[in-house]
Amino acid sequence: MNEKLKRKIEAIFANRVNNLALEEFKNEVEADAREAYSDYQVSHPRASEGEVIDHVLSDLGDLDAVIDMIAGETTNQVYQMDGKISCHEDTPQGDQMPDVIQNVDVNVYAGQVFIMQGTGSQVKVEQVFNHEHAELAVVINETPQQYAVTMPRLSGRGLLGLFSATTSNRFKNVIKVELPAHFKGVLNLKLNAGEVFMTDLVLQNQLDITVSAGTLHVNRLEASELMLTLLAGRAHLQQVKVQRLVKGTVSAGELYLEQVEAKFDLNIAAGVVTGQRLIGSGHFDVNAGSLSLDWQTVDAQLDLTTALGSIRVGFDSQASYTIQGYSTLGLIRVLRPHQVQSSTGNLTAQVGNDPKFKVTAQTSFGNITIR
Amino acid sequence: MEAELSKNLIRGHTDAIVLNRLNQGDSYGYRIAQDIAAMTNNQYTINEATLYAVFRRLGKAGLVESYYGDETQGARRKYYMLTSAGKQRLKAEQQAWQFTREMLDILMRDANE
Repeated sequence: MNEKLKRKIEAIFANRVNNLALEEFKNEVEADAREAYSDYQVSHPRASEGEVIDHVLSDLGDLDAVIDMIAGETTNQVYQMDGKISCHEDTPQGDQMPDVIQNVDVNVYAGQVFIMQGTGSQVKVEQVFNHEHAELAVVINETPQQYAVTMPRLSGRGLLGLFSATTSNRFKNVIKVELPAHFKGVLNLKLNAGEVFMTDLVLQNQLDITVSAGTLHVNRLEASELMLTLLAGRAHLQQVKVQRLVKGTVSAGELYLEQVEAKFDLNIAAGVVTGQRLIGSGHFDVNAGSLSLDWQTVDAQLDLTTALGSIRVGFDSQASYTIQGYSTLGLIRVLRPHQVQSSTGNLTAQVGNDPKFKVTAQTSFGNITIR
Repeated sequence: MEAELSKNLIRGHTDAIVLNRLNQGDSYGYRIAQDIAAMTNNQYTINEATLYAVFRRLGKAGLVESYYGDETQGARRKYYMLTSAGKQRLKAEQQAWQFTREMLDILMRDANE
């Protein structure tokens, strides 16, 4: 989708109470606007980007009244006609708040899951799903230390029924998990299939994410630490700030990072990792995959290592840094004016006159490109 | 003047128009807006914001249901479909419109014809 159009639509929804119904409505508007943009471009090939956007927004009309209508509804009211609602909100014993910090586990096997900040002090789960698929009701197990939300894993007849439902396009299974503001426990997400949206969250503790399949979207999130395991599927992290370390492995699939601020320690066995407007530093070890990173700011040393894969890093055109390269049979290319200080066996070079950080690049057989 | 449309009169039947479009097949806001513009040769248009409000109103009345399509790129398309109650309502609206049209034909007829 056109980024400017997307931002314009996001602006329409800005400063609104963030609830599942509004998030769904925004997705609906975006999907329609994307098609409208594409259609108008085809029918008016000479129209400028601004003209196309103006036309799309004009045809869209004034959404404020609909947004007000949705914002005024509770999620339950919105969906009562659509399907069953399973709503669980744990309550503290008497007036006592629990002393033990509770961790939250979310295991997803199907459907759409929205994880966001709620208004209460407790974890809250709501589910919307088809009447005919009662077997999909979310299971909640709670102990003083742990709050586990699990989508049932279907097999046999249940899986067949689910397949029929999804292929007939009438399948619905949406879960909303609300966390307290500044949640202090560990949030542990396991995405096995389906789609998860994590939006506008501030986590004071660690976030553990394992993606085995499906798609993960993380937008506007802060955490003290992020442990990421991408086995397959796709993970898209945008506007994420991690105080300490983003530590992870990518075995396959696609990891996309945009405006992520952290110290990184990533191991990429295979798959594709792309970063845009990154802030921070860290270590990236690529075995056979592909790594492409554009940095907005580097605040400490960057270590890049590859066996067979390819690494491409880009910095701001004004950035000044030193490069220490080591190659066995691979290739290290520097596509910026640089002064070679030593090239006997290894490469020692400097870009710019006032280096602020150091890049070490080590390759066995792969290619490393620095620009 | 004969081509001029009384848009307010049509606007009063927006719910029935949307129900009828959905009776031709499951659809969504942008597509219905485009269909209406094409069918009327752009003489009558409904913006998508209006259609979203109509969808919600019809949904609350149990006349339509929504579901997500299979698109994998970008935001997922939300489709609307008629419920059996929606089909009954559409039939009633069509009968009412038939009656209204017949009455208007009689009442607006030129006595000299």
